[in-house]
Amino acid sequence: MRCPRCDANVGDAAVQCTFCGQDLSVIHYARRISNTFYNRGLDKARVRDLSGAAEILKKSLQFNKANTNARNLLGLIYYEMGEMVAALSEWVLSKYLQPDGNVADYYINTVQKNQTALDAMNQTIKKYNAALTAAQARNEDLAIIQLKKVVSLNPRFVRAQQLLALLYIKTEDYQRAAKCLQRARKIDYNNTTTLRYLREVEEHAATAERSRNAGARNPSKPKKDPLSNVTPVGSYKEEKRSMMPVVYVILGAILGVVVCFVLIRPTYMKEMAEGGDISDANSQLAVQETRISTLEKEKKSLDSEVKNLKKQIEDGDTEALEKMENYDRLLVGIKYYIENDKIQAAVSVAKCKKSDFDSSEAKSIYTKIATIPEQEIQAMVRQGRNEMYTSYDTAIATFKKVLSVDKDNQEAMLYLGRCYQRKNKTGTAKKWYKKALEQDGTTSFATQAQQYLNQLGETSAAPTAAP
Amino acid sequence: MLNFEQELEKFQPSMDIEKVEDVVYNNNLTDVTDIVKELIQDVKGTL
Repeated sequence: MRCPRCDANVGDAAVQCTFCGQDLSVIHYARRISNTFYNRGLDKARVRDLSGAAEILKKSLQFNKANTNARNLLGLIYYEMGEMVAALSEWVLSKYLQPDGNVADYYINTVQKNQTALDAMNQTIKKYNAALTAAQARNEDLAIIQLKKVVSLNPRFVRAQQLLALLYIKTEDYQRAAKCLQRARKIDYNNTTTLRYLREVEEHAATAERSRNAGARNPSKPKKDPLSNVTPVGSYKEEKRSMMPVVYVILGAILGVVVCFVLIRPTYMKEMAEGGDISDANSQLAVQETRISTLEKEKKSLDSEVKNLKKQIEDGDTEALEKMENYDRLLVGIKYYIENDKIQAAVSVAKCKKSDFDSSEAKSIYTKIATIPEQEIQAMVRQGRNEMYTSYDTAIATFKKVLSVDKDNQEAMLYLGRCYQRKNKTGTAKKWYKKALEQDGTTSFATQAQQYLNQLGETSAAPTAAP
Repeated sequence: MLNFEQELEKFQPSMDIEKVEDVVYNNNLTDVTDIVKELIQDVKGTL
């Protein structure tokens, strides 16, 4: 606190200036009054008597301009009533008078931070001013339109609500006026202007109610015809036939044809041209594929031909080799025949056939050598039987030699089996006995073969004789 | 009954936000303390 006389800085609680001795009780008294007004203003603000609170807070500031609480609260009340400029100016002054520890900082920053809302607020102020100008120029309709926008953007703008209500009252739209006033009253409950306008609206409403009641009680008034609002309906008339649908159809068809020629045909022609190229390429591809398949077939046939030729070459080689072998056998047979060993000679050519030889001389020599007289075969069989007494192996060799020149010799088969039986080779023995039986079951050799088989445990090996 | 013209005259245009600075500068900040100070200075001058 500063001394009002010497401007010296003294303590807040000092009752006298320590420098000039000035009595400071007046200053303290003024501050107390300021605080009292602030408290009353705060009470009114708490019950939403904002205009009343604003008046008292202004008085509080008249006693002490540095009452920061009162100034900040006044700014807050202005902000709540939509008076942004007044609110900001109070907070700026508060900040100027108390730079440190002031809640006005928070209010200013909050408002400035939301630039969009600030711009919208500025727009509402401009529209309000425009509406006020229109109303003063007796252009109520335009003013109402402007004010509607203002209150939709900022419903807390009490002055705009009041002006809109006044214009509605002027245009005798009391219901809407009442709504505007109710909205204004929700913000500022005891605003005298709002209350005055509201009373006016209520008076009009009461007058209207009285006139309605009076009208209801008055029987002389003629009753309103209940069918007065009914409008007679005209007789049904069939709709005249019109040529327009036919015209529309024809026009549509013409339009379709035009569209086809202008839009669809060029595209179609282009596609056709492109399609021709594709078809050419496809046909070329098909020709190539056909050629490839033909070549593959030719290759296969040539491969098979090569195989056949190779086989023929191999067959020719084999044939020539066989011929040479046959001739070798024939030569060996001739050798044994010259040595008078006719059996061995016959055995040598036993694997050959007469058709294996080309020349007639060779064929006649083969026939001479291969054909053995029966006596010689019988002599060999007898030789084999004699050898059985000395050596079964020698006898087996002799009987095999006999069978090589005379495959169907039943006696040789029987004794061959006997040799093997004696050598305890029963399996081989049985085989030869059975072969002997297969030759002819009616001979004495067959009977003997059956007996030997019976001895070896084979009972039904003999074939049934023909009747 | 309200007089529309009189009521309309009570409505004053609202200040634009750009003019906050003007409002602050033109605000009359004189309080009781200032008046006391002025009176004391006057008394001091006459003495």
